[in-house]
Amino acid sequence: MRLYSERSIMNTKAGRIKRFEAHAGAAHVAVIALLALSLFSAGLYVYAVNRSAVQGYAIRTLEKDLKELKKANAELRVREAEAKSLSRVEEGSNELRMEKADTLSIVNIRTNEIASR
Amino acid sequence: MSALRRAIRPQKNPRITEAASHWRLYFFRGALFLVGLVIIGRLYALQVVGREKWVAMAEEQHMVAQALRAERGSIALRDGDLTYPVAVNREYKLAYVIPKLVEDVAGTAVALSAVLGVEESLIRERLSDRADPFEVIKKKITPEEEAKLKELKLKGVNFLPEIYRYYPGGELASKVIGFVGPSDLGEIGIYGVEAGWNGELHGRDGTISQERDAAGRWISLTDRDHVEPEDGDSLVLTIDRVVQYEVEKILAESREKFNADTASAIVLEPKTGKILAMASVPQFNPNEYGKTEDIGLFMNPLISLPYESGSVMKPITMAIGIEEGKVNPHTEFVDTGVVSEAGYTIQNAEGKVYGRSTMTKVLEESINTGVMYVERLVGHAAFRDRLRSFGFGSKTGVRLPAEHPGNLKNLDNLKSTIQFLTASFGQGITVTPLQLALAYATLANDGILMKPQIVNQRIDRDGNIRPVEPEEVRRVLSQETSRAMGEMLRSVVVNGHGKRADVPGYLVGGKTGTAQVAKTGSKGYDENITIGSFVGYAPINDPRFVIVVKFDNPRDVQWAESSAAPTFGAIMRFLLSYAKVPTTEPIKK
Repeated sequence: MRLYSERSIMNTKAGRIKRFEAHAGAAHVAVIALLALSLFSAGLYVYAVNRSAVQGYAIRTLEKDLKELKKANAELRVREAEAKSLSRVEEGSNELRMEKADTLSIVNIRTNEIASR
Repeated sequence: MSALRRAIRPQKNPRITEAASHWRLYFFRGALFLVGLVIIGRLYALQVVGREKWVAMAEEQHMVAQALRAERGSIALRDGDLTYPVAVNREYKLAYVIPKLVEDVAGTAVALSAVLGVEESLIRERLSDRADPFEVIKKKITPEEEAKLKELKLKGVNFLPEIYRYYPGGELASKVIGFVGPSDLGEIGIYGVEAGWNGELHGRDGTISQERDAAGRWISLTDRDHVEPEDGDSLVLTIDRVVQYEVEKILAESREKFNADTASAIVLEPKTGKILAMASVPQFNPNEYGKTEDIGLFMNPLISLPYESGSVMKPITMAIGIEEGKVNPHTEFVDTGVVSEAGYTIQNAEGKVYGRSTMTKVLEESINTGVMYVERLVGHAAFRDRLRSFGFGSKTGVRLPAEHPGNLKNLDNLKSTIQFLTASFGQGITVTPLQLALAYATLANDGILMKPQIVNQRIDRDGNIRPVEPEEVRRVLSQETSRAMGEMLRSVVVNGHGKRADVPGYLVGGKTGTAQVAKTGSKGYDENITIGSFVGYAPINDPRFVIVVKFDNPRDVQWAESSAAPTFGAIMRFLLSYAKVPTTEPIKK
């Protein structure tokens, strides 16, 4: 009677199938994991690119707004200068019939003094 | 037969055949060598000798470059603790049409003409060429015109933004600020600070260049050569906008009152050399400089037009005499009313004779013979050198364009005594009003001459402020001489011809000058034209302001004591109250 070792039993066809099935299960899991990871990475990449594009657009919009605001500010400065023009102020004071003071007294207000008798 | 021919044909010598074959080979090789040599030579000429030319041509074909204009810095005046912009960049719109897009040519022309004020026929003509891609209708349209056109929704009518220089103050300080004009390098300063400080204001233009394809389009994937433009610095001038406005106003009123050709004035801080106001009327509007008929109005006469200043030069002669130790305010001399030299007779004004007079009286009464006496005591060489030390005869370095150094050439010949005698009372030599202001500022500043300063601060594109510090040129007089001169000038205002320059409550000093004007094209002076000046400062005990006032050809007054002196007084009165300078003298009611 021939005695078969456990190893030799494993080498039988049934054993090989069992072994293959065990390995195939692991590979299957690995492939699925890899696929999931790839999908996740792809999703992350799309998200990052999209976010970057959105933020880039937002920056461009803000830059454009900044430029417009600077332009508006410069224009307002010019209008302020025109409005502050002393010839214009003088014209206005004439229209309001304001009189020019003949004498000018400069009053120095002392500190820590509210009123004096 | 053929056998016979073969038999009688001479047999070839094998040696000769071989030699002939070699000769052809040599010839072929030689020809090949020469062709190679020519090709190499040509390649050398193209690639080495003419390399730069061909590279440039290739780049011109393949590269497209565009200048990136730097933004010009602005100019502002001082306005208390703030600043007041007087030269800025402003966006305007240009109205243009694309003729092929215009559906109703006649209607569009009528509408454009009505809103923009451009002739209808001109617009029709521009719209008629349908193949023309772009036709300008009007530049620098107003926001109101743009709004009206947008409301009309005319097809083919568009707007393009353009940057122009704008001067919000209009005529205010226009002769100091100047204006810009077009050039190949963009807008450049032509007059005033715009020209004198053009380098700082303009900044540095940048460029962008890139390869282009056969159709002339940019190839975006190739390397791009990009030089970023550096915007110009902005300037804050030493000029105070309120002082400038008031000085211009007083000058305009006085010019009209005295019927003068021009009226000019400078206000200077003697301790720093800072120019607080520099004005000359009539003026021009730099926003519409093209409409100014007399281009002479663009010039700043206070630095560019020297004149024979007359008696305002007498205090300078006196200061030289005191500094040289030849006279003092109490030194006496006897005036006979006339001095004869080289066949010429020089008299006092109106032929007056003053007899025994002190040096103080010489200034009070503006005695010509008195200052000639001082000049003789000082000596010609020392007198000339001292005048130069005051800055006469050379540019002040104010950094404004077209500054004139004045003219002391008549003093080159030390033997020509007559020239020195007339120079002692301001005739025969020419000076600019700015030089006079600085000379009097030297008297006011304990004898130290300062460099005139027109720019107070430079502000770079990042907003960093760099103050411009006052510069001392040299000591011209001792402190004692300058103080003695202050007292003498005060005496001129109290007792002499300068009474109308006084300001109650303050110690004001100064001197009048009614100068003759040399004839053009012939010798001698014009009897009908004068220039009236007054130069002085206040308060004498702590000088804050030096003022020069000058009237060219005032027709309704004869002497400067009736024109320049009261105008000086009006300006000084305003300045002292504006600067809140406390009174030091009792005010008589």
